[in-house]
Amino acid sequence: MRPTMKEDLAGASRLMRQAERESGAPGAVVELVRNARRLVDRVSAYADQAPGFLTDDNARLTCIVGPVEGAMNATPAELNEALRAALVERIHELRDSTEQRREIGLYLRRRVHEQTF
Amino acid sequence: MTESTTQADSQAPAGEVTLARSLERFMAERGGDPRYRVAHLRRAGSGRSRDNWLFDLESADASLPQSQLILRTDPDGGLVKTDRRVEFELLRALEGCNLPTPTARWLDVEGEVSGNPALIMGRLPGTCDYRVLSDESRAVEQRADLARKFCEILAAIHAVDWAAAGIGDLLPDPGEQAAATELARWLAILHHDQLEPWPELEYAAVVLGETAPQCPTRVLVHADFKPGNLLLDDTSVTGLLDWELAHVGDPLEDLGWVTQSLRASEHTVEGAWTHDDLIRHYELVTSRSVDRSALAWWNSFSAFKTAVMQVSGLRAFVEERADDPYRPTRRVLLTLLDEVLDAAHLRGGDR
Repeated sequence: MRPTMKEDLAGASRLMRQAERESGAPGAVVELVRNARRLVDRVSAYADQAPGFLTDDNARLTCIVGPVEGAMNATPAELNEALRAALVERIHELRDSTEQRREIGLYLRRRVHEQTF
Repeated sequence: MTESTTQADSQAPAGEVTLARSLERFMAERGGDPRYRVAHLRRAGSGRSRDNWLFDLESADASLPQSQLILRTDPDGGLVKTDRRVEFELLRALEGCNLPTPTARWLDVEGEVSGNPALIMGRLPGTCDYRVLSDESRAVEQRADLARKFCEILAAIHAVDWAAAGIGDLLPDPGEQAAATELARWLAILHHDQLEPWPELEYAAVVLGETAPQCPTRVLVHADFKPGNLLLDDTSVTGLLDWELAHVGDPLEDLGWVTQSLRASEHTVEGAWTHDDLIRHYELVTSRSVDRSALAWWNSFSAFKTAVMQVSGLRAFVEERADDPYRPTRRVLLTLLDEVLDAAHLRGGDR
């Protein structure tokens, strides 16, 4: 079905960029439009990249913290949040400087690096 | 205050006229001279945690001096909740301390003027420029001189005899646990404001908690020292603003804030003023040596605090209290994780 969601989002972003460049537009309005356009761009990137990212991240998190309750019926985003909550608990359990905690730190760093949306 | 409607009123938006009348009423009820009226009220732009309104107090009697004032209110979307009464009392206490702080005139703790708590303060001359140290229209030498002055003002804040000024009654001394106390404060803000789990920040908090330095010396800490909170008149610093986060704590907290890598562009001058220059000049001015290891902890804490502010900003945006779509950025999170991983690795390697 056309336009696709991606085409609509790209169109919205393009129109907002035009509005940002509109001469004479009040600075406060330009700032609001810029913020709105950034959100649209983010939604566009999220739609593209989030499904694959969440699948990979949920698999990695499950390796670290084990399965969580309700995983079968959860959406990938819901499962990710539950797994990240479990990871917070694990971080606080590993109070000493263990190899596992260092691995968690490296995993977190890699996750932030890979999440580009 | 007079209640008459003027030509200026008739040209001002209704909201501003209402605010002006409300200000006049508030000040008159608290000992303000009723011959004055509010003039030239205008918004000064919205900072991350304040709405500022500039105005003058004028009188038809030309023999009465004009006053330039500012109304600082809490906007609905302020990033961090702070106490207006404490900020007001602190500004009062600082009036005799030889710092370019604004004069606190009235406190509206109940939000009678604008609906939100507010301070009414004297307005200082000068302008604010977040990026003044990278402003290439100024000579490199001039920018380095400014950076040196900023460092000296920071040292002057830390030289305030806070106990003698009565600030200890207002802002408690956390003792040698100042670092752990600040970490706990910002962790509590994270837990209050987060919309989802943040293992990155919990991880950082655990490592920071285990490596928190002792703080043998406590000073008055500004806690958001930056060019954006200074007023400049060409090459003179005319004002030192935004005391809402100030507390008694470790001097390295401010020094860590201004030397954190995330804010390097605000506090350094390429080829002329580095973080090392800043630290050495601070040591020279204060005659106090800086523990580089403890400073590194405060650098990491600064990244943590920045991330928590972004979490709070995200909540404010989602709850429609703010228009800026904040969120913890990759740059902040990667900086924080790199630093705490280094700290954890070094400590782990010792065992």
